[in-house]
Amino acid sequence: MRRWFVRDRAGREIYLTEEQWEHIVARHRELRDHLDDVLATVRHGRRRQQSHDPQAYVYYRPCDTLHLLFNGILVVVVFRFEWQEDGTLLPNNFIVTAWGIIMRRKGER
Amino acid sequence: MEQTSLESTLCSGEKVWYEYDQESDLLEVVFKAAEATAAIELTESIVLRFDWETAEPLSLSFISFSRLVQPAEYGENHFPLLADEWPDEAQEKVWAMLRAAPLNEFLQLGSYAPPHGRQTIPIAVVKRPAVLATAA
Repeated sequence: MRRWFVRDRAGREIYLTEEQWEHIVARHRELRDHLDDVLATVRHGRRRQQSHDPQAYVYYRPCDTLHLLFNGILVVVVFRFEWQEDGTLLPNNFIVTAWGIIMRRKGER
Repeated sequence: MEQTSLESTLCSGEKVWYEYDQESDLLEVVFKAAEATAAIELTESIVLRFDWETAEPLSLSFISFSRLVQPAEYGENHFPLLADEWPDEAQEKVWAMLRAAPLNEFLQLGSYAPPHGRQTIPIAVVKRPAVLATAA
């Protein structure tokens, strides 16, 4: 299974597994053919920490190439750590899910 | 990722499907298996997918679900609804869905009037479905 690795604006490495991507597009079909846009949301988007879960973040970014009314992408990333065989602890940051959404754009109100 | 899937019937008689991923603590409640034509962030942790034409809810997703339903020191946690982020043309549809079944079986609406605030803030409490008592 493939994994795509990206770095967010602060340089944190985050990955998406092919298995998870297939799971995402099976449920959120507006994102079919938008893998690059989902990864770009993590790479360039703004992020917001979940107030009740400091290890979970939502990345979001406008996207004008989605169909229908969708004009933005939300991506959920969890930040974990994983013990390695040599006893070191390394970051394990991965994309959990993503949605196309409709969002109010700047200047609309 | 390890997923728990189960089917249940709501008080309203509608069938729903719960899909809970333990590793990521993500719960998706599916009301109807159809392609959504719209989706919005209800709160910073809840996404609603729906059919734009019929204003029919298709699914609710809860990020970090087990923490959302964890009681705080003085009772249940309330979360602000991101109504200011919803486009004007979506407002009426979203409020109507929130006040009706099946969404009102999962979210209880409320208002918070901050002292000296000019605007009342809409808030919601996540009702933990009994069927998920042991899932998260």
